[in-house]
This record gives sequence, C-alpha cells and structure tokens, in this order.
Amino acid sequence: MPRTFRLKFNRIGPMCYIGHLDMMRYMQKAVMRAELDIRYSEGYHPHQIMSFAYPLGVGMETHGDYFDIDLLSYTISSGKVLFGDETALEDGIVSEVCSGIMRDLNAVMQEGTEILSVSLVPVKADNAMASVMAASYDVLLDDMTNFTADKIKNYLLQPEIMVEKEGKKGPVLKNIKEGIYNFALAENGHLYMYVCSGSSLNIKPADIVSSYLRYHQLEEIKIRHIIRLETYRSENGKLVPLGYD
Amino acid sequence: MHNKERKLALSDDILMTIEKPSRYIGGELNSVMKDKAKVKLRFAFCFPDLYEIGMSHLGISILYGLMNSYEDVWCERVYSPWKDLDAIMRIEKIPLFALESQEPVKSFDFLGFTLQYEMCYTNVLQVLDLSGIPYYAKDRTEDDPIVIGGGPCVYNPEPIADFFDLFYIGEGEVCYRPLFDLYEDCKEKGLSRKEFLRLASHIEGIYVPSLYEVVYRIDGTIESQKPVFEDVPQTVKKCIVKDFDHAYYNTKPVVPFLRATQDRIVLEVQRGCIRGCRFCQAGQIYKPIREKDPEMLKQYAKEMMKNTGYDEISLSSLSTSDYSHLPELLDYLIEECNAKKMNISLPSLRIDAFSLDVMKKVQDVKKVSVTFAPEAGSQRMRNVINKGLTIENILNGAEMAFRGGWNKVKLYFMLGLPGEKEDDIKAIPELCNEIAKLYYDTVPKSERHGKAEITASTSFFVPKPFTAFQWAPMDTMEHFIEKARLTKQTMLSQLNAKSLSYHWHEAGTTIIEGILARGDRKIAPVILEVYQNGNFFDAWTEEYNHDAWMDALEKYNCSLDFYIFRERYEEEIFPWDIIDAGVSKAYLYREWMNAKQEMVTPNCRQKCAGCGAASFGCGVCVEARI
Repeated sequence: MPRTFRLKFNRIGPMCYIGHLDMMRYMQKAVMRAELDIRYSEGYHPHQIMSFAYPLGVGMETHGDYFDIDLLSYTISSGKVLFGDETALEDGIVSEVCSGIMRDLNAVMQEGTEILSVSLVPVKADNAMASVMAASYDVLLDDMTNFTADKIKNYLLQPEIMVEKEGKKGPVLKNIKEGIYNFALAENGHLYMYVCSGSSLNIKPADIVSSYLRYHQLEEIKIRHIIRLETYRSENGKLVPLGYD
Repeated sequence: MHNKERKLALSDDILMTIEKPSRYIGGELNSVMKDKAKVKLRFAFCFPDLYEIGMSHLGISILYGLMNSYEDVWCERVYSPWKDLDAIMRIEKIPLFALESQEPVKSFDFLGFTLQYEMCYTNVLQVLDLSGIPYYAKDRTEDDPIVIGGGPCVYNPEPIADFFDLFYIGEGEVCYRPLFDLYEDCKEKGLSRKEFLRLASHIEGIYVPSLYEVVYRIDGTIESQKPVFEDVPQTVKKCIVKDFDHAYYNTKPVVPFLRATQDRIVLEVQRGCIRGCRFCQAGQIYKPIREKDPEMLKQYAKEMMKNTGYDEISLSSLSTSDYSHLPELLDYLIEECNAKKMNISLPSLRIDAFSLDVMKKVQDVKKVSVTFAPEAGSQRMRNVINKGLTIENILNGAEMAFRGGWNKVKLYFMLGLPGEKEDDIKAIPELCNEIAKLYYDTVPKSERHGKAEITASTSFFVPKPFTAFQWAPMDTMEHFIEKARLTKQTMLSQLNAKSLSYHWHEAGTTIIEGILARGDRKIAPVILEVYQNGNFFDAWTEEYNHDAWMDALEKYNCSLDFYIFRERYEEEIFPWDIIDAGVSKAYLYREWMNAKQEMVTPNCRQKCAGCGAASFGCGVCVEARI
C-alpha cells in the first residue's frame, strides 16, 4: 500500500525567482535523482503524483512550504523494503523512513532549497492543498516609519476591512477582517502577519499592506520582501503547522 | 530579499519587473562555480539568443563540461537578454554579465560565440554592445576579451570576420587546450593581444581573420585572399575528433530551472552523415560519419539520469536511422525508461517496420504523426538534390503506418531548389494526395480513427557554402511567394483536399539568410547598420525587420543580384575558400554537375565519392564497406 508523506521545505536567495511550475519541476527532478519510488499517473506519459500545498509566487522566499508525495516502497538501512502490505508501521520505523527521505533528497538538492522535515500523512487526511487554513509571513517595506504599533492597532479596530479580490466573475469586495489572526510589528522591526488562507478566504500580505496604506491615507510604499514563515492546517479546531511531525 | 549566497548582477526591483527572471540568475543544477582567484583563464561562452534556446544546445553543453574539467579554466554561460531586460540594462548602464559569477563579460579573457544560424549575427553585436566591447576587432584593446566564434556558420565567417579576433574551425573538443596553453603562456610573458593572435594562427583549426588581406575584382568577386605574414597558413583546415568513442562527453549537463526548448537528456549517437544530400551543409562539414560505441552510450544514459533527474531522453545525430547499433541501443533505453517511468523522445527516424515498431512502444499512435522528409515532390527533383527517398519508400512506409493505427502524416519539402519546374512543385500536393488516398484504400471504414491528416510544410531553399549548391542561384522573394501560392492552389484542387493541410515559412528572412550565408567581408557594416537601427533577435519572426535589412544593403551597395541571384562560375574564388572543411571544391563541383544531370551519388557506406574527408583517417572512411 503506497504511503503519503508531507515534506516541508524552504526556499531562500536567488532561487526565489523561479515560478511555481518550475519549482514543481525542480522537485520532481530531485525526486528522480534521489531515486525515490514515487507513484506515477497512468498512460503514455506518466507523471509523478506530487501535490503542493500553496503556490509560491515569483520572488517569494519561504521557510515553511509543503508538498505531498506517495511512495510505493522505501528501503531502510537494514535492506528491508517497506510498504508491501497494509499493516501499520511502527513509530520507530516511520521516523527512520522520514529522516531517510529527507536525507536522500537533501543530498541531491541545490543551494537555496532544503527539505526541513518529513512526516507520514494519516490515511484519511486531506491532501496538502486542501489542508491549508492559514499562513504566516514576515513582510518588509522600503519605508517602515509609518508602521507603528498605534497605527496598526487603529487599522485593526475598523469594523470591517474591505479588499478587492479576484473572484470567478471578476473583482469582488471582501471583508478580510475576521481572517487577520495577527498583524504586528515583529522584534526584527518587520511586519508579522498571520492570516486565513485556502479556498474560502485567501488573504495575501499585499491585501493587508494596501488596505493599511489606504486607511492611513499614505502614498504607496514598495514591498521589499515577503517571506512565508509557516503554513497551517486545522486540527480539532486549532491551527497547527501543516506537517504531522 | 535577504540571505543570498551569490550576489546577483540584477537588483530585486529589476528581477521583479522582467519576464522570466530565472533566465538571468544562474545557479542551476550542475552549473559550475569556481574560485576566480584559483583559475588562470576565464571563458564566457555565449549562445547569442534567448536562454531557453541557448540552453538547448548540445555543443555548448559538451564544451562547458570540457573546459570546466580543466583546473586552470572557468567557463561560464552568457545568453542574449530578452528585449525587456536589454532596455533596462541600457538605461541603467548595467554591463552584460555571465550567469555563474554574475560578473561583467568584459573582465573575461575570452568571449566565445557559437554561431548556429546566420540570423543570430545581430545578437552577437547586442552581446558585444551590452558588454562594452568594441564591435570591430581592430578597435579592441588589451582590456577586452579575445572574441572567438565557432559552430556551423564559421564555415563562411567572412560576413562577420571583422567582428571577431579568432574563429575556431571544427569540433571544439580538439583545439581549445592548445589555444588556452598559448594564451596563458603569452599572458605570463606579457605579450600583446596582436602577438597572441599571430601565434594562435599556428594552431590547427584557428583562423585569425585580421591576418588575411582580401583583394576584390572590379565585378565584386574575390581576386585573392592571402595571409599578410609568411608564417600564417594559406587555408585553415577544420579539426575533428578522430577517436569519437573516447571523446569527452558532458554527463553532468546544466539543468535549467525553466523549461528549455530541449529539456531532456541528449545522447549524441554519432557525428557526421553518410547521405550527401546536395542542399545540406551539415552533411558536408561534419564528415566523415563517426559512430559511438553503444556500451558507452548506455553508460552515459545511466549517469545522466542520476545526474539530472530528467524524465525524458532523446538521441541526437544528423540521421539517427543510419546509426548501426540503433536497435540495440533503443531496446536498452526502452527497458530502462519503462522501469524509471521516463519518456523517450524519438528523433525523426526513417519510417519502416523497425521504426514503427519502436514508435508504437513509446508513443500513442492516435496522437502522434509519422514524418517523412522527401524535401522535393518529384523523383526528378529528389535526384537533383540526391535525396535517396523514393515514392515506394514513402508509400510503403505510410501504408505500414496506416495499418499500425496512425492516421497523421507530416511531410517536409523545400521550394526554390535549383532547376525546379512547375511540375516539381505540383508534385508536392500530388504526393500528399496519393498518401491520403492510400489511407482510405488501406484502412477499412470501420477501423479508421477519423480522416487522414496529411500535413505538408515547405521552407525556402538557401544555398550554403560547402555544398554542391554553393554555385547555385537562389530564388527571388516574388518567386518564393508564387511557388507557395501554386502549392497551396494545387493542394486545394486535390481529390482528398479535405485531408490535406499546408504551411510555409516566411520568405523575408530566407533572402537575408542567403546573403549572410554566402556573403563576404563587405557585409559586416550592413549587419552593424541593421543592429544600430535597433534590430536584433532577427531569428524571431515577430522581431525581424525586413525593411531595415534592405535599406542597409542598399546603403552599402550590396546587391542581391551579386550575392544570391546569380549562378557563380566554376573558378570563382569564394569568400570561404580560406576555410578547408575537408571536402574538396572539385568534389563539390562534380556534385553540382551531377545535380544538373539529375544523377544520384551513392552514400558513403555504399561507395566512396572521393570527397576528400578520407584525409582525416577516421570514421566511415576507414571502415569496411557493406
């Protein structure tokens, strides 16, 4: 029985200029080089079954993105080939497999991306993309003088925060206030944002920045960087990181 | 964005404004980083076109690996920035940089260009311009890199001779080491650029254009082209790899982040061609054919899969069906690829029972087509061009394909071949019609997947140096368009017209390609003029500016009649006579006469045509014949 694994990765430096599709192709090639026994689609041109949690835009760095892969087998150091049957794997074996996958992939990875952790996804769990409920970000603008604790507090005290979002039938106005779980000045002087993500309401850091500037009647300020810090799923009503570590 | 290991030449702001920034960041898998303090020679290797095109080129990949295998050399890659970035670099005065180190090209020891098609010449000027290197070799100083050109276009380097310090004639695996040794030696001794170039002319395959004086006759043809010093050779003979089995091959090619035009593992199974098609330059300049040991290729395939992670593999050569170990190699690859879930992309093989069987194993017959390249519609014309494909070959192949489940056939033809008559043109649609008819006769209605889809495309013929047609006149643009129209009309009047479709290529670039292919040193200012008027990326149809070329030709009194529309005479000295490609002018002229008499010449494995390539003492020339 194939097992699904969730891989957490980072992307920093020049590699952030790669588009999402190219990032997927990059990971597929890494899986080939690592010779992992990944599951393929059927047909004349089979492709690896790999699902990314959240598309990474060109220019965005991340410390906490995820993708899922299905492995048909994995050979552990003792030479034993696993996943041949339905029996549940012991915890010790699972952690050996997970650290093995991480080691195999990191050995063939380019500078700028690294697999940070690997976990086994429970059988009935949602796939990576469907699991995404929130994400957190580190955001830095060219000029931070107008981002003060007071101004942020006033912005968040508005009864509603309307933002124009791209809907299926063109732009629609959406209230994002309930989706902003945290928006604050971080210790490093950057902005910290913890927001609702996924299919129901997908808030991007740029949504907050633009509505903030509008609320305070400020001129446009260029965003210098957006770094995704973590991606979250929901477990028993609580938000937890996407992995199952 | 913080935390960058390698400092990029372009700012974040620029990278976020341009299309596909990953073209310019380097750092791809298998790209080579070295400590610049520990190398003696830095080589910037440029394919003067877009990254996606240049990254698909096998030649650079081989030489990049080879040069970087030398401890004292660091070879980096350079491509033409697309127009969006080009404009920004001019405004912001950012010098063109190499991808690996991200450092300015101008600081390198060498700037090498591979010249694969004539329409890239304006891009060569773009690269020089953005690098801050003078266009003309004579204007360069000790601070400029040595500019060297290689690739098929340098078999007539004369139109661009004034832009280059050196040309490398032949296969890159052979003479770069002696050239680098000489360069390092000259640098150590403090010799000047001029002194280095003079000494370089003594190396096999190295042509130094500034050391030759060309004298023209009153009619514009060449009176003489002689070296200005006694120690400089009269002609420069191409250098080739003699032991092809043991030639260097790069099994760790750079894997681009974005999808290149050729985004797969490439195995070069052989170099050269036995066929001797009279229009084909590659068939002559890569002679003689040399095959690679299949065991070696299997080993390369295995290593490259491990080193790249590609999900596709393809074979490269001028005519893969002629590779004598093809069945063995394909059997191995099919098995290996099935196990690894990889695709095999087949080159266009000659359609026969074997190739159809292979295609069936690796492709979906309902989706793909079988391809024929008869190049000419009538048998008479195919004899003129020495294309050994007969109507029986085509119809038998097509019938087998139809029985095997295919219903799509692609055919490639040329218009404007020497001596072409109206009947030869009409024969193209007639052949297509016959193939469509064959489909309906062969496949019963109940077994058909829709109608037959026969697609013909024509390109316009350009006579090239070192071919039998180097003496031939080229057709005018008006003729080309008329001929394409005639083909189209005849296509529509066929009984099975509904199963036929027809495409043709633009005629404008063809004319300019003709001039650049057989031009002389008087063409250089024309190319510069076109470039300075803001035109480059001429190989891209939407960027090509025909009027700019016509105006520049007129300004410099370069007439189309002289360069392309006249038949050249037997004894005429050609601009490219300085180059010795290994095939003799006498042989080529015999072939020109054979063409006029519609006589076929057997291929190299059947019978030696005495072309002269035997002087290399390798490949088919020394193998036993069938």
